[in-house]
Amino acid sequence: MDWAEIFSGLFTIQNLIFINIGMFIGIIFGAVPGMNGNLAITVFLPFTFQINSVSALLMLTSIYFGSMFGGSITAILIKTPGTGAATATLLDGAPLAEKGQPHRALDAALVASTFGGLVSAFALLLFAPQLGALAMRFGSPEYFILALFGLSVIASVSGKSKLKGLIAAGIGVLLGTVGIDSVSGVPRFTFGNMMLYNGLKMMACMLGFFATFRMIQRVKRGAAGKTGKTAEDLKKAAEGDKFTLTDFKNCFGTMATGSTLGAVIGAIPGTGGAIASYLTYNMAKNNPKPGEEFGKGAVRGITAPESANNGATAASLIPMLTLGIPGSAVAATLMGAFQMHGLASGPKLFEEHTIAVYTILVGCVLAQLIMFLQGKYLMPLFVKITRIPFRLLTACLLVVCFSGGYAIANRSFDVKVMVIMGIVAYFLNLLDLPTVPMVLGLILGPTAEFYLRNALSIGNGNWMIFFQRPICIAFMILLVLLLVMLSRGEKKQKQRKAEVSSPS
Amino acid sequence: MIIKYRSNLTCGITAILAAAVMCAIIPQQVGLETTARFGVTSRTIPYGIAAVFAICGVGLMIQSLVLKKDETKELNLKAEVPALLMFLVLIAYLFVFEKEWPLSTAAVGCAALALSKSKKWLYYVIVIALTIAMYFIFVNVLHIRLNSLVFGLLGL
Repeated sequence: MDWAEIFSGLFTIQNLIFINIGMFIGIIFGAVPGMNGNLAITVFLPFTFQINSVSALLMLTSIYFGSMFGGSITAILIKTPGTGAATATLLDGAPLAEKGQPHRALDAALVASTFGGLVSAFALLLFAPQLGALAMRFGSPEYFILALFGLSVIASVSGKSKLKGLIAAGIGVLLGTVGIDSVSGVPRFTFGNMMLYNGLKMMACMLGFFATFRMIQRVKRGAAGKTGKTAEDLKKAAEGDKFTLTDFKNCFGTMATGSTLGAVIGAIPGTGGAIASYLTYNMAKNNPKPGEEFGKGAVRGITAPESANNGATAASLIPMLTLGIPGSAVAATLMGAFQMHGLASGPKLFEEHTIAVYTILVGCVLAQLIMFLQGKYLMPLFVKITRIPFRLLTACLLVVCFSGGYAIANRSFDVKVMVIMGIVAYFLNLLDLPTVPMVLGLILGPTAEFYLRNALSIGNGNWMIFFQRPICIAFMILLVLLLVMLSRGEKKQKQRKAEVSSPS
Repeated sequence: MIIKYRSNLTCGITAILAAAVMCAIIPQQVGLETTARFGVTSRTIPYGIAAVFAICGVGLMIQSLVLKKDETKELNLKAEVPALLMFLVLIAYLFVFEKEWPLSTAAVGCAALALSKSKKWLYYVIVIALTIAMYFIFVNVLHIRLNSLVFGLLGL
């Protein structure tokens, strides 16, 4: 392989411009609630036919990477995650921004996203065949255990009451069952409504749970005259509004774990970054550093999920590029884009288009660095969102969210779902039911059910199938260890709280 | 008027009621597959969730009534009026936005401003301008079809 040719092919003015354009589009689309990288790629794909394949594909992959980071911006600033994976970022990102440190929160997300993205891009560049082969060893039983792994996080995101967390997760799983059952083909909870046969879109529910619900709350706060902090409060908080080198050192281990976990899980088709980000968040939460309070603006609570989330991005392209299996909707769209540009994904891609493919893969590494630079430049602009008057921001966000809700699938039904979920979430909040387990249940519940039933079909109804496969056994051991760690971590936190409350 | 309620107790009762409703509607709303089932059917997870609701509901009631571990919350109905009015606005929006997206969406934004007692007219102008901008971006750039009788009549 001629690396000189790859580098000279990559570092052209045209490529650099298109990576930058793609990254900017991706960040903006990711930052608008309801829109996502997939929509951006679909919209801009036709424009790429006028440019050469490598530049076009670099631009499209950059849109994807940018959108993943963009999703965390709204999660941090307005408590509305742009992607499912960014819901974990919201847990500590939003409280830190509310404390008056949006810059520090966004910086933490940007650094972690770049870190995770770089690990992921290098994994794609160096270990694509090996990770592809590992991904192929995942069957339905392994997927089921992996989904259980993700669901085990419910306990640590349940807030004050685990029972309420379980109820909330149950509501999420229940919402995920609506529509045609993908295993048997029978309709569930459709109430004769044809639109419900397709199921409820996760993004529409998420916009309801987070955006609509928050906007109703903000209207109430606005009416009561509680429109946020005073200028003095903000000035005081802004003094520490920087992501420092100490923060980076504190977060380094967490980011390394998150990125690696993200890259490995991301390489498995159909998993996505959500499982990885919640798992890493859980691990960080169970090993708190002195003075660190998760759920109240801990910086590691932002870097953990963000590194994992972005760690999964480039890695999620591995099964697509090496095996021709798109692991997600975005990967499927990108696979189409590769095909349209003459690079048919699959085992022969690396042999037939070596230079072009490696130019794109090295370009993925470069894209992460450009993401960092663009994030840095755009940061002051994003932070200005927090300076918009409270009432005006509420009204503008409502308009943006309703537009985004419509854009999910170009259908008005999603806007209806979004509004209804927002009203439901308002009443559930009166009962202190947490929202995050609900989203977790909605994301992972259907996956767990689908693979459980598939696994049992493969094993002719024999549950021993889960105990006969090495990866399954390894994951089950890890799951048990994780649960033990969780209970120990909780005990530790309780002890610390007790020590703080009685210093004598 | 202020309504006082115990959080765990109310949540527990609601969860048990939800479990009962689910058990009643699952046979009507979830069909049974005729193919091989291998122990887990399309009804298993819904029934499992109903069981989780019931168990957690009972647990919350025990916490509240037996262990006395509960928090009394207050719901000030007067303070809830703007939120309730916002619900009504949103529900009304669901009936009209399919026919007239820009006007109805701008109206929701302005209603949010009015309900949060905003008196600055500039805010209303910004919200209306934003809605129109979003409409044109969606229709002309993203090629997402949004219905508008007004813009349709104007030929825009």
